[in-house]
Amino acid sequence: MPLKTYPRNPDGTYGPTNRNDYYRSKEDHRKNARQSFKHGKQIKTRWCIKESEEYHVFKIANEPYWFCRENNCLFGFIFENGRLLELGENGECLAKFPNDRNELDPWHGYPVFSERDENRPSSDLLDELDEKKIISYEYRIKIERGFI
Amino acid sequence: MKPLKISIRVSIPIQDGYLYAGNLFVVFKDGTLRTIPINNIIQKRFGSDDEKFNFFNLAFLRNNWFSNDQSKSFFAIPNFEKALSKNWMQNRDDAGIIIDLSENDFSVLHELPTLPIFDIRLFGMRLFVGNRDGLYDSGISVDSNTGKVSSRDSLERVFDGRTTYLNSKTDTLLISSNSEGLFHGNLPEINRRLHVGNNAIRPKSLRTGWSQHNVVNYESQSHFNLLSVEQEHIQERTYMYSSFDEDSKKIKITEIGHNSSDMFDALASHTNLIDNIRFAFNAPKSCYFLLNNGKFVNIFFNKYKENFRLSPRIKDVLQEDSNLLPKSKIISANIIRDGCVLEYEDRVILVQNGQETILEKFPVYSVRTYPTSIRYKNIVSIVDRYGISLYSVYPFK
Repeated sequence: MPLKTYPRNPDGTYGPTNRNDYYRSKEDHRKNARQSFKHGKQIKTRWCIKESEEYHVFKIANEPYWFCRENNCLFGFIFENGRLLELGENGECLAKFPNDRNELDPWHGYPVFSERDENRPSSDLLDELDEKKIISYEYRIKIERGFI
Repeated sequence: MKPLKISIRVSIPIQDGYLYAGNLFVVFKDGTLRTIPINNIIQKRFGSDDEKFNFFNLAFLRNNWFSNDQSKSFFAIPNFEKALSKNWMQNRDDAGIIIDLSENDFSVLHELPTLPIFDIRLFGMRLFVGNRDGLYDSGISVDSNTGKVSSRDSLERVFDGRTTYLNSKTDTLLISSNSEGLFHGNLPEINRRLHVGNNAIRPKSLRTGWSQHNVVNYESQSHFNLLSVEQEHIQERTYMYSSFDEDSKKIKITEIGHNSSDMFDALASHTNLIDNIRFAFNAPKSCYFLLNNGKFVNIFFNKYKENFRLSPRIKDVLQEDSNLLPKSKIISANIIRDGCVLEYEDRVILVQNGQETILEKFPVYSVRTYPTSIRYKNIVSIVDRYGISLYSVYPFK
């Protein structure tokens, strides 16, 4: 499933999805944002895909609702030809869409590694994605161990 | 020269595998942990009268005999090494020796509580299995005539934190529990269960490595801390590494992490490196770094125990610019005797003596090496959806 691009709405959002949700890309996670480090660790991860493709990743996560209760967020990824597509410029393959917004506000998101608990889909969500064959067993184990 | 390969195809799906005490321990996706003696596997392909049976047995079960102190005398005899290399060359095949096994060729050792398992480790004649619910422990014994494994006691939970990575040395097991921290357990004596300390040594741990003097705790794939290790020489070892053990080292680890140093201090002479590390891992004497610019470099640990700083000298690992190492994210790295095995999303690469060889060209479930093992220091095991492949790495430079 190649990444699709979507047109931006006049107010700068994308969407709606079939759940009637909108998405807004954030400047500080875009490629041209200034890189900031704290103790050698990058504070804000940056997408390596186009702004209009971010919405595609969001839509894929939002419509079947890959929601992680533990972390109060949606997790998205693109799994094609047996591989996870890199979404972030450091090789991040997962996207996190936090639900820290008012109900009618658009969602936003950024690429993450699964190393930290808050950036990893819960075991329950991974069980579900594995059962539905949305992700392969190889990747499921590695995400759960925090290696991807 | 490329490694020898045995490709074991199993009739029902498996998830992981581990070599210990002459046996292959396999986690099946039906929730069972089963074992089979390695020479039974080789015998399936070559009868015990076949001359290849002994060669493969030697290469996979006693690869250390090619590089231990005694071997120096043998390989000093003219043509000994040449004859072995010739045999190696004749038996080496990229596809590997394919051996088909059914689940009935294995003996069931335990029913596992939850799948998937995150890690498995055997040492001190005990089995440890980590999953999302914790760490499980069981004693094993090996029949000296048949080589078959049986369990000495039930599989019981000894630690209830999520257990994502295990690493053992002498009497100690390091337990990485991700955001719950790094814990350590020790085997108090033979036939006793692992005792795990209540307090985390570090607040976060993705994986660990042993250096000569320290534990290297990786908080992420690109960031580590060095933790001090206190050890004492004991008169008599109260446990065995394996029933075939002939190593006489008698060391007990008494404390881990009394002193520590962050990567920034350890790499004080390499400040330009810190923001460019994509992946770090270590061998006993040195640390390896895969950098964002595609470079693969190696820096030695300080030889003095009290000094946590890495050497100011930096060395390229590969003799030439790589055309095999992809720019994509590396998933895991494992150490062998003279090199390492790198796992990427779509391939597994052996790097030995500055040169690369592709071992697998597709995603795999797990890659394991056995750096603290006596027998299997130069063996690689790779589990994928079709079965498990064992590689015996060519022992000479």
